Amino acid sequence: MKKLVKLFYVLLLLGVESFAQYQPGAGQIALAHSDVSSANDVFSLFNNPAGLALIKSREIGFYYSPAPFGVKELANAFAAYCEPTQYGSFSAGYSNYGFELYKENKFAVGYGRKIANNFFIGFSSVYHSIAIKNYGSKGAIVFNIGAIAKLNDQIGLGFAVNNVTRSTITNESNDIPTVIWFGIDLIFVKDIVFSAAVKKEIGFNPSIRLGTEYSILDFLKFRIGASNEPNTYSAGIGIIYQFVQVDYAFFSHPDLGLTHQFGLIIRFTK
Amino acid sequence: MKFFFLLSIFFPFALTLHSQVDTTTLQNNLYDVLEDATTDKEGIEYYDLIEYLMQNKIAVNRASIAELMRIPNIDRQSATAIIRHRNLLGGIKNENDLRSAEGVSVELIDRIIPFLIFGDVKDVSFFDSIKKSFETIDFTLRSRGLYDLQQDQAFKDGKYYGSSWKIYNRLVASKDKNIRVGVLTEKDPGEKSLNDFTTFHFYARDIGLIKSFVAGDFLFEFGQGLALWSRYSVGKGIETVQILPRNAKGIIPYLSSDENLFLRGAAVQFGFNNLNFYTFYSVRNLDGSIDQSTNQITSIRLDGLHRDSSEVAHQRIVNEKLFGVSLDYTFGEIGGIGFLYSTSLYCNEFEKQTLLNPSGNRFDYFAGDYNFSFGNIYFSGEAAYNKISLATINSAEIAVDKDFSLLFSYRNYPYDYWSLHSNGFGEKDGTQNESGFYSGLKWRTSYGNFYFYYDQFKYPIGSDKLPLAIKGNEFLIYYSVKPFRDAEFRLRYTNQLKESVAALNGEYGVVSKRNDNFRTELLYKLSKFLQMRSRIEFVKIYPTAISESEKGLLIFQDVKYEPTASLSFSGRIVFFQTDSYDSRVYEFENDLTGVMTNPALYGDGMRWYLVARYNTSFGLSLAMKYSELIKPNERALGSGDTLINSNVDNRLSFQLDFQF
Repeated sequence: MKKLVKLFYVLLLLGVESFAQYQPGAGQIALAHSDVSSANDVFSLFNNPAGLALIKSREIGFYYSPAPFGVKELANAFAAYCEPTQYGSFSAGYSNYGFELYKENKFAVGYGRKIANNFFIGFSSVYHSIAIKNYGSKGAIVFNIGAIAKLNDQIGLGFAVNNVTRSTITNESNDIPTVIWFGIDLIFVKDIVFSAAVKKEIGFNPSIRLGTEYSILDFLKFRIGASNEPNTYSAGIGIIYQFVQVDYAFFSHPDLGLTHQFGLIIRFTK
Repeated sequence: MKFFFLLSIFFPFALTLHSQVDTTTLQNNLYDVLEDATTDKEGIEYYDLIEYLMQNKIAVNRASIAELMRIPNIDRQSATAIIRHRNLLGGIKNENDLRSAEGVSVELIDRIIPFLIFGDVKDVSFFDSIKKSFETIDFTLRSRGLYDLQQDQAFKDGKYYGSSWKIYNRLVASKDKNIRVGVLTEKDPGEKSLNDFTTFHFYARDIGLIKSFVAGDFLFEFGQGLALWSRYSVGKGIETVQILPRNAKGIIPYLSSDENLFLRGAAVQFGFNNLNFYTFYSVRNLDGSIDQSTNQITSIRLDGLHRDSSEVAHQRIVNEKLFGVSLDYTFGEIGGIGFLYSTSLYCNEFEKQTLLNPSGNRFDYFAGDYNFSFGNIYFSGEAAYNKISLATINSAEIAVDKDFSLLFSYRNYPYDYWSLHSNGFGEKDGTQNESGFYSGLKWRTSYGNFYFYYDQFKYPIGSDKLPLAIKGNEFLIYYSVKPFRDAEFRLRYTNQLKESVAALNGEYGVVSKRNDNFRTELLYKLSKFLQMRSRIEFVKIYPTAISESEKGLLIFQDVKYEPTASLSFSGRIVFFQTDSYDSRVYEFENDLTGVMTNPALYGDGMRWYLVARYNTSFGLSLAMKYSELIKPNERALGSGDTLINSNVDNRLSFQLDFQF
């Protein structure tokens, strides 16, 4: 009972009138999702799809958040695959979230392409479905677009728009929010990437996200991030060993407490 | 669906003919200047003037300073430098010759090139032109339709006579730039007839001593605009120094869709070396209201809307006759002087409702203007007398060097000075009841460009409720830098403190309101076919005795894509969030050529648009725009007649330009 009350409380705080918008990547979460312009791994499919165009070799990624805010029922998992080709990067992915009574599934396909020397674009299409026990299921196709520009070796810019078509699952407009993300990343010191982003969703105040990734050693990255609206802070590490990258992140919500998440990316270098 | 239908009608035309003036480059350059100029103003038609000047290019090798100064945004120092450079080289053969001119900035050269022709330009006289055959006539046709996909309440209720389409058609025929005939028709949404508004002119120039002649509709600009000016002017904004002095263009054939403040009749300019003499006569029926009991004019209506019986009842009922003579004389590079006498006579007397209203039915104006250079200082000004009081503006521009210039200007427009056709520089429109001191600075450095202005203003009569003076001031700081090639970063901060008269506890008092606006913007060109622009803007309004503090925010991302020389797309997605209409935010949009859209965004929502343009190689160009405003958390938009029972307001517009 206590758990159910907490679940209800969490959903109330997170959901408001929209469906939950979990986005994957232990690396991304550690940076408070400030990496709009530095997205470059397989989870870009669900974040800024332009990041797919920066992937150099085949990648498979898994992400798991076992019990967000201590509630097992909110566990969510993502899997994604990306195949870079001479015609651009093709990607597909799946995620699931929920428990016996309420489930959300997402099937995604995406495409990213370099269209100028320093400019990358991408789009993804996600079939988003919800199933509520005894009420049946419903779904909608959502489109996301994104772009990344590398002004030079030190400065990158990016933007992404989630749900550009303003698709809805119910008759209520904005149940899947349309969100714009702007980001910039700066490398002023070797091995340190500083990133900043603004997220704006209709009906909510803009949220500013800051993050720093420090590659201490070739195989070890430290990440730290913070945001306002809501006030969160996060941190994590990434360990890269040959073709395997393991990431861990924790993230703290002001009202809901701590969450842990894990990621695994496998790179098939040619 | 309607769009595709129309497209299929237009495409069969697309078979023959030659190239078309590309106006998109210029549109980019003007974007920044016009963005500020159009804020809070409707129906500004500055672009029509720009287009007219572009079609009537100035021969750089023959132009006098006065002629060069007709180019928008050119300053006297640069115009003088171009003429000196021309004399030094013995002629400016091409763009590169112009670029090597000392004392003229690169930005200015980019801006003025569309208005110039280089090399030896053969002087074709008027008489040569008329002897030539009919085939040498150039025709340009522009047709435009705008359609709101959501019907306003007034249309649903069947309140208006006509459909909700806005339709514009314009045809210009010209021969060697010496003869020009233009006709324009326009129908506003709700109006019945396609030619609810019609304007036309016949224009000829260089007929011996007659430098220019117009019959039909025209505009006349004199001095600094205190007595007589066109509707075209640029207000305070990021162009902090080159807004004054204004360069009067004399007679301008009129071809815009603003339905009221132009002149209709005939005008002629005679030129003898440095002396020009002008005379003009106009008779028009303006929209307005006349009180049936007193037979006095209570208002002149400027909206040009005739959609229902009450609006039609006000149509063309105020007769205005206007006559004027003017002359100007230039002393070469040193300067010049001018005089104007004009008189206007209305069919009825004006009703004097408040201190600020005119009275009587005849208004006479005597005006004089001057400009002269004294070393690096350029003085200019105008004084206009309406037989009651004297309105003045005096400015000094100090060009310390080509990278650093200052402008100081003092204006004083008394409360009892009034002219329907004035358009003087100021905080508010009307050239009446305002005095102010403006200081501007422009400084180009290798670390970026700084722009600054500080304007103090005072209205001697605050309001008819409380006839005390109210005052205010405003400053702008603008910084732009190119940290590397093809990228530009901009910061703009404006701060306005302005008093207004308001009712508080049943008594009238003065409240002072502070309004801050902070904008940061990044523009980057990724390749020759792709440009991006990102902007974040904050508005903050401080609390007053009668209002609470407010905040506003705007975020946009803009993409411009030109895959080929003939095809271009531009799109933008805007998110905004403001506490109310008072903290509204603006964004000046790319639009069909000749249309300027600067919507006020308020509440919580988003807006996006896409413009597509296609230029064929034979003179035909097609363009379309789709725009959409969405406020997901609202059930309806607007109110009263403009109420839409949806949270989406979308519009489709298209345009055809044909040159043959």
